[in-house]
Amino acid sequence: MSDEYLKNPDFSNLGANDRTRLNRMLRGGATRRDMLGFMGAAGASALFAGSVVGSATRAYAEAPKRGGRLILADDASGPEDTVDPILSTSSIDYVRLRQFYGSLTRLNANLQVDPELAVEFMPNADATVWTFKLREGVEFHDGQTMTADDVIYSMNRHMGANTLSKAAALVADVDRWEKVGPYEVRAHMKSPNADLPIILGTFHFKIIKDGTSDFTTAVGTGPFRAVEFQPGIRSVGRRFENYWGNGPYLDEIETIGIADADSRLNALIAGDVDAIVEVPPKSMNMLEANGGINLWTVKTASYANIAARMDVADTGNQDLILAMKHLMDRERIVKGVLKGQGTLGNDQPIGSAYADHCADLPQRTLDPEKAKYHFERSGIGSTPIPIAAAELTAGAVEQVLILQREAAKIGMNIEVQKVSTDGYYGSVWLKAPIFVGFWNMRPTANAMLSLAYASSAKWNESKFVNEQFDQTLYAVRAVTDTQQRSQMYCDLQTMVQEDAGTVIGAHKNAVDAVRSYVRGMTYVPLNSFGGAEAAEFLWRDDV
Amino acid sequence: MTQEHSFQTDGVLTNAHWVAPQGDDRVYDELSDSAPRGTFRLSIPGWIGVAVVVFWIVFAAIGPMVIPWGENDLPFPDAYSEFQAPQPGAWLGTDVSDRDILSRLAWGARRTILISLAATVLAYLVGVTLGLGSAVVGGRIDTILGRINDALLSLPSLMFGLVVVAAVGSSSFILITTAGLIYANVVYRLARAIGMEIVVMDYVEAARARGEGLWWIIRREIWPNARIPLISDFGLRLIFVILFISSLSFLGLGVQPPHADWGSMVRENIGALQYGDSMVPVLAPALAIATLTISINFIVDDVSTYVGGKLSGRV
Amino acid sequence: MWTLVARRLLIGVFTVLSVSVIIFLATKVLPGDAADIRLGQSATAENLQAMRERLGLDQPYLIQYWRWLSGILSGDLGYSLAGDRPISELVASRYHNTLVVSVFTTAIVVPLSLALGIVAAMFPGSLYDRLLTIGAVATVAAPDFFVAMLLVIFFVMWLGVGSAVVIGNTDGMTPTHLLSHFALPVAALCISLSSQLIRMTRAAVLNVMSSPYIEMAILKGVPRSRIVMRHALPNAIGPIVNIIALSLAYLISSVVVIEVFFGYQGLAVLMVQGVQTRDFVLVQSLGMLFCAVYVGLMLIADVCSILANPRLRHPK
Repeated sequence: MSDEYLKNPDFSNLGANDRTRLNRMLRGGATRRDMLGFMGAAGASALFAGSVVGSATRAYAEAPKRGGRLILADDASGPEDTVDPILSTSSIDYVRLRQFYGSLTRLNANLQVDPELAVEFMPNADATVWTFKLREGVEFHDGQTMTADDVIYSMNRHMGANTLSKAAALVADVDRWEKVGPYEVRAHMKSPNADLPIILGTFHFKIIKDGTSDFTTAVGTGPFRAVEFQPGIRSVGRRFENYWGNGPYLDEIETIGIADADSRLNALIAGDVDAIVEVPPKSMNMLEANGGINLWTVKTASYANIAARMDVADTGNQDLILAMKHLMDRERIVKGVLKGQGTLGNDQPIGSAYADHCADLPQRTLDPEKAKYHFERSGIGSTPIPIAAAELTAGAVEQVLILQREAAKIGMNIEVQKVSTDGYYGSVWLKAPIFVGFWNMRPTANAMLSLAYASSAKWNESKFVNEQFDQTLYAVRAVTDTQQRSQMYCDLQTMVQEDAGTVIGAHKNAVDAVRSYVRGMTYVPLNSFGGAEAAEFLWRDDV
Repeated sequence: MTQEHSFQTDGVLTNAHWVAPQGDDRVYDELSDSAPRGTFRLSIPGWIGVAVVVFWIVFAAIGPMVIPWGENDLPFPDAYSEFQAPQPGAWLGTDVSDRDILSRLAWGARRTILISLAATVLAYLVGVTLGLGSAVVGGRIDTILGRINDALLSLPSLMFGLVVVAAVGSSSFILITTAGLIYANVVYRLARAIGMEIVVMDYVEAARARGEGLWWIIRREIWPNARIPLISDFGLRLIFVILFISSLSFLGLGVQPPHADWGSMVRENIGALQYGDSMVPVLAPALAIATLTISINFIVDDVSTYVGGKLSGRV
Repeated sequence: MWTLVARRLLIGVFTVLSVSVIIFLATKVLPGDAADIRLGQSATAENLQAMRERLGLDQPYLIQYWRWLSGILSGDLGYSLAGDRPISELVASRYHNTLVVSVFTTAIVVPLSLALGIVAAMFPGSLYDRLLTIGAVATVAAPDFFVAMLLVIFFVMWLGVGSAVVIGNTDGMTPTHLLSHFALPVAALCISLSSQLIRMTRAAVLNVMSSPYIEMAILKGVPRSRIVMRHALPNAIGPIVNIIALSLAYLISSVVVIEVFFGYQGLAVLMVQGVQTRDFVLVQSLGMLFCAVYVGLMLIADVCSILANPRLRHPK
């Protein structure tokens, strides 16, 4: 879409009435969610609606104002907070990384790649070598200029068998990084991967200075300079005057963690903070009625699920798994627990927020008859079925209670074992016979399926092993024909839906909230706070 | 000689005790706060207390059988609306997950009373046995137990509970054992202090002189005299167990869902204060805890007054 | 008298040592070990073994214990497993909040509770006494987070004063400014502590009131209020000092719920985070810190009571 179009959005596809309403909504500061709903109602296709709204809201947005300070409140935070890109694990880490560092590429709201510190990136013919041309004249916060050496150093920290990187698996197919010139680097691949630039736009691949080993503070090329970083307490960033881009607009940005959801809500309502993550869905009505607060919702395909390990005799029982899948009251999760901020899950991870979502897959619904049939075949009877659960996200435990309620009606005896959230991933997840999980959306369907369902995947929750699935998953990476590609993705999703041991009840939108003077939100669906991408673009309307 | 004293009402200060270098063995608190009285008689608040406690016990016993919904059942399965106001079908409204408050209150009554009762009884079994034993035996065993007790008291009790629950998971059995052992420390203090007071009595000396065995002395001489002051502390201990479990549930542990206990019900539904259509979901369990504990305390006060009289009379 | 003090000191040291054993063993009970935590999801059998050797976890417990203890004695609290930061640094950035809140709470709640408790002891059984007792029990019975939420709703949401969470840098704040900064957590803690303190004070004074010399004074016809202030109170100083010390120990180590609710970082919350992230080193070091504070406060209280007691000050 051209810049010209952005300045003068063309709504000629819509009827005259709709056009007027749309214009009014845009000027009136309608939220993106309102807009998408409206466009859907007006009969626009989702894709079209998304692009029009994206560009139109940008076009009508007032010019950002400079100045002011914002306090962002994320959730869990503690001594484990880090500003080392390769070690970061939590939402608050990702939010901070974006403030202090830059990365080669940047993902936008449609999960497409925009250039950032790399101005150009191109593969060779078979996507086995990727060449990145770096932006010149980019300064680190200490005044030094960013060059290929910094990029190579940053990327090499993800390489090798002994790397501590939490994201090493994402770049496991990179063989080595090579410096071509002061502003040009190359990645040599072990196997072709057309998605490397997308991967490099995600959280962990931030560019640090060559040789950095001390992460008590952050020295990056990001829009904010770290003036304070105390793990578990706060970080403060001040505008980096020599930032290469247009932003940032704020003078200062403070990031804190408030673990308790009710306290976080209190803090926003009282005006102690300007933005919070993870609004309790049940408080949304109250917040929307509150004049001073706007919801910041992003449709994502993230989900909480229940996984039964198929390598354990009892829980590997296909009939038991199918019974659970038919017992999941998905409507209740979306309407009751998420208060409409989500979409029905279909026992496979590729929700409708992914480009490769398969819309033809039949929707599973609560079906006690089928469930009863499978449960009787399973021969489990009244033996207690333990499910380990922790409140990893709003509704993670409640989905189990909902399942348990329906199960009790057909004589299935589910026993909830609630454990503490922290330490859960180390000691319970993947280890208990049946457990709950929580998955963020990934930038591509292939990344998601590779991480969670490939038979060799470390995080294969249900130990799902299917040779045909693996073959299709690897083969589709090289397929360019749209029709063949979507057919293959549909096959993959069907196999997971039918055979894997995971019950996915719903996909959950990211629901954050801001005080009404906060503008410039981003909508990248990979994390809260607009994919953690917002820092550079946020501004205050009241300065 | 130095003596150690014990707070009877240490409460939130589960570690409360002091080591006061005074030549007096008396246990502080209501034990000795009023004039001697002959026969045990309930005051008006005492009667109110008995009535309320009986009400809750009956409620806990019969409630779950009479009330139509289970702990995880939905009174209005087609409605997706939490924190509903009281109405026919859900006489106290619905909770954060659309469930019936009244039913959960009844199940919660049973569980809250049983768990706190079991934990307190355990605390007493361990604490009183060791405490009175220490007092009678004295010497090195008394010193060693006293030091261990000191050490355990210096650790924050919630932390202790967290470590245990993190190590072995949470179940009613674990909760009872953990809370029981934590509070056994406090009971030990109390029992030992009371025991020390009785051990120096003439009749104990006489029994010793007669050559009676240790167990006989504890059972026949010490226990009958230590019984009532110990029991008068029982009610308070119960309150602290309830609060201890509710604090654990604030940190995401405690009683397992979907089971209800009053402390966790307050926690689950705390959002009702902020964004609920009805505040009953959080006020109902909070009031239940308050009325039960205040009532127990009324009864405790009467018992202490009576015991205080007896003790002062004897000393 | 000084032998008494010395004896106390010895007992204190012994207590700290036995706690160190308990804490050390307790962290061995938790599932997983420090090497697991360090490596996280990248753990393999080989690098796990290598990490265990590096951290000395393959040594016998006795040697591990000795290394840990001697480290602490030489002022080295070790490194947090999760963030790989010196624990002394984590403590340094949090003790300030804990200290400020504890001092303010003590400064407010102690005199207030003493006054209320003493007046109750002057008129036991009166309407005032009864109401105070009921009020005290009612507040004991309310979970901390419930009280805190009510305070936030009343003051912040309805009256529009104060903050719902405690955030921001407190450097260079004046005491009044600090007090308003921490107003709500201090208020919540005052409420939850006051009931205990009132009951204890009342009990301590009444206990002295039943002494023979007080009974003598009553028989002589001295007014009850004068008896309490001039005769009973001085002798209740020992217990009262102990009460203050206990509240301080409690405030420093056990106010997790309040710290979490008001979103400020204190030592208690740091300890919980340590337990929850299986950060054994952090848990051990903080456990020792709390124990030392507790024992230290008790020691000070004991010395104060010894000094306040003429019989002990001038032994026969």
